[in-house]
Amino acid sequence: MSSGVEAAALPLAKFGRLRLVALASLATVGGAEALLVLVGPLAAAVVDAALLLALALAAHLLERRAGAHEAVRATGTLAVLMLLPLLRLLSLVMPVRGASELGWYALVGVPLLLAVVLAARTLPPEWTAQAMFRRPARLQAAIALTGIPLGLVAYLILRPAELVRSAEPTRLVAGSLVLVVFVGFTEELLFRGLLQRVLRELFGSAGIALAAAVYAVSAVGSLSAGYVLFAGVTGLFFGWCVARTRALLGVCLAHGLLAIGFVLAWPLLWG
Amino acid sequence: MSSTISHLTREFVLTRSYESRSATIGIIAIGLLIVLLAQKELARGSRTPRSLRVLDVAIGPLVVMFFVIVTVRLLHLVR
Repeated sequence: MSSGVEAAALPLAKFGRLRLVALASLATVGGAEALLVLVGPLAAAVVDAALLLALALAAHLLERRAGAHEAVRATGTLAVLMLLPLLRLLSLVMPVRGASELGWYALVGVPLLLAVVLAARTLPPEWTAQAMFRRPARLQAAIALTGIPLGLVAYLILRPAELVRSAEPTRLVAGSLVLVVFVGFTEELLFRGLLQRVLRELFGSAGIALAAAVYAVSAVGSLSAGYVLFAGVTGLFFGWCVARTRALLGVCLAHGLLAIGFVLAWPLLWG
Repeated sequence: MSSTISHLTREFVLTRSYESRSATIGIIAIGLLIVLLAQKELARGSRTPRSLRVLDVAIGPLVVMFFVIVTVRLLHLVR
């Protein structure tokens, strides 16, 4: 990308401390996900809570040492990094057994979406000015449609149980809306809209791969190496699409269609 | 399944009671919320509004989580 926003990026040397904090945070998120699999949710929650607290303190320290312009970038970056441990804490506490499993996505998604919006407000305004609707509609539609075959691949890898027992239209429509908003839009705004944005600012093109790697790590709870690999490749593809088109709408819809196929459609049609 | 609801989190929710989850991970989250609220109050005089907003990124969702925990536990008590 050669936008004015990127042209205004600070030289990498000025990001030294922030890059270290970002790498340490991403490594800790990976460690917490490993603990989730190997030890249990409580250990992962302790590490995630400690990371959130450490990032809040780091924001205070970096702000005091940096100049005003750099402080805006530093605090914004740390706010985005806070979303990762927050996602896991919410996913462990918010689902209620009495609610439907599709409802769990909304229970986790509402506060997560709130956090995404609050994190976006801490970034420099020019970073969040990336319009969702200004790119050619045909190209975004083509990107969105890739979610259908991707959903089938995801289903064939994991073969999840049906969440909706019958093809009841009302439930399918409501479930699809929940998945598009709270999986498609929320996760893409987080991973590609914010995380990839700040990582590209810090690490250049490698930021796309880093964001995809974090996305793959967040899928280790599936307990399937194939699915983690699939998540990594999908994350790279979505990241590349966003970097090329500078628009999020296509990948948000693609991710929504992927989730609908994976959770609702393919289990009914194929299962 | 997604990054938010994985196989492991699904198993965790289905095999543990809400009381158990809220008394362990819920307590950790509420403790974190209290610390962050205290940090925000202490820093109110010395930090810029923008940097205080960083704390809101965690405080906002944790407040929602707190109300869900309290509401669900109250409903269990009433039943």
